Amino acid sequence: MLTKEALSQIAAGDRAAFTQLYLHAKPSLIRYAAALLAGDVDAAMDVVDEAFLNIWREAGRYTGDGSADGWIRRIVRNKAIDWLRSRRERPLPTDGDRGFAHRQADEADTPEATAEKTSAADELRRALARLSPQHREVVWLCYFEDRSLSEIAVIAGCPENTVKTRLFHARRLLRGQLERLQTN
Amino acid sequence: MDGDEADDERSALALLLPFYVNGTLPQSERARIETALAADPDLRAELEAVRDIADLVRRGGAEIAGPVATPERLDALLRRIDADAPRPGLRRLIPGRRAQAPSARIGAPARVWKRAFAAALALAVIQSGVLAYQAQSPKTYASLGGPEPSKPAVRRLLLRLDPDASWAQIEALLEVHDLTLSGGPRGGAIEVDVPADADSAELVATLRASRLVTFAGVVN
Repeated sequence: MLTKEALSQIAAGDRAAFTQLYLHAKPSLIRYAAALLAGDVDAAMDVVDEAFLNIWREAGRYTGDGSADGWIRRIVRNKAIDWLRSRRERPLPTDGDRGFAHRQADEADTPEATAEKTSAADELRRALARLSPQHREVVWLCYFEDRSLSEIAVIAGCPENTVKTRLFHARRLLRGQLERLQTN
Repeated sequence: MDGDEADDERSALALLLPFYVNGTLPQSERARIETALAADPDLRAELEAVRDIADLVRRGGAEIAGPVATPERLDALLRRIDADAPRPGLRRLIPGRRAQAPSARIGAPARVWKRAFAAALALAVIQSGVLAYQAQSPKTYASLGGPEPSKPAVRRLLLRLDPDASWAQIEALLEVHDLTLSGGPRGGAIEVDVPADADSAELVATLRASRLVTFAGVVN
């Protein structure tokens, strides 16, 4: 089912369409929200559920113009930013918290493989923590989701030039961390 | 091209490098970048930095294991939706309806009526689902020309569902187990066809463990 079609069915009160959209879209939205929240997957799950509640309430406001996926992501992003504002005092998740690494427990892995995975997850979490939510968003959409410049501009709700400069500044901000990674 | 123009061109291309690396850049711009890369060591260094970030994000990001939407979370969300006031869009469809005081909306009698309405609606939706399914099924008739072709035996389960289960929950349950609604509701139970490769006994045990199912058994 297309996201656009799903939204129109949800606007008419179709709970089956809502469930289907939830099951289909949730995993990638959780990853996206987790990136905005610097790797806090548990918070991302709550944020996405809150966003889905809004989708149920507000689906009728989607006019059909523009990307339905972008419309949904904007709701998730706004919820994530609300969450960050409400938890401004809360420290970012530590290594022992339920973040990226927690989600990757795989009994089949060797201790070396587990250590390597934890390291990659923690490096990304540290990198994202250095960036603002706006920078995290474009970094995630570009490098993980392989979105085009125009797609990111639609999702982020900003001009293409802003997307390009955000990616450029993110690169500058992460330079030190990347250099340290290369020397290790 | 003078020095300033060359710098401007390199800056413009450097801003496009992330999209060169993620493969979404149009061919014409890829060609522009490749030409510049061949002649410009600074741009090549910039490209390496972009690749390092891409690698960091892809390796770390892949470790977010895409948690499966747990039934508990979906249930909780659907309960919140049930408890939600009608949406503005739907309210507009009811002419003459006035906004009620919150206390009137959350009173016990309203809840009873709401539950009764939801149960009736769920039954109606299930029934219409069965009718729609039957309408889609090809009608075959025995002919005088010979016996009907043999059909593989369909394995069928009888499920009695929690009266509080919503249609969305039932549909999600059927989808998760690849079950097809084939009959009912009769006496509060539905019949579902089991996929050919499924282990009926194991499926029955799994369904009995679900809080949405109060009874599960093999029909044939």
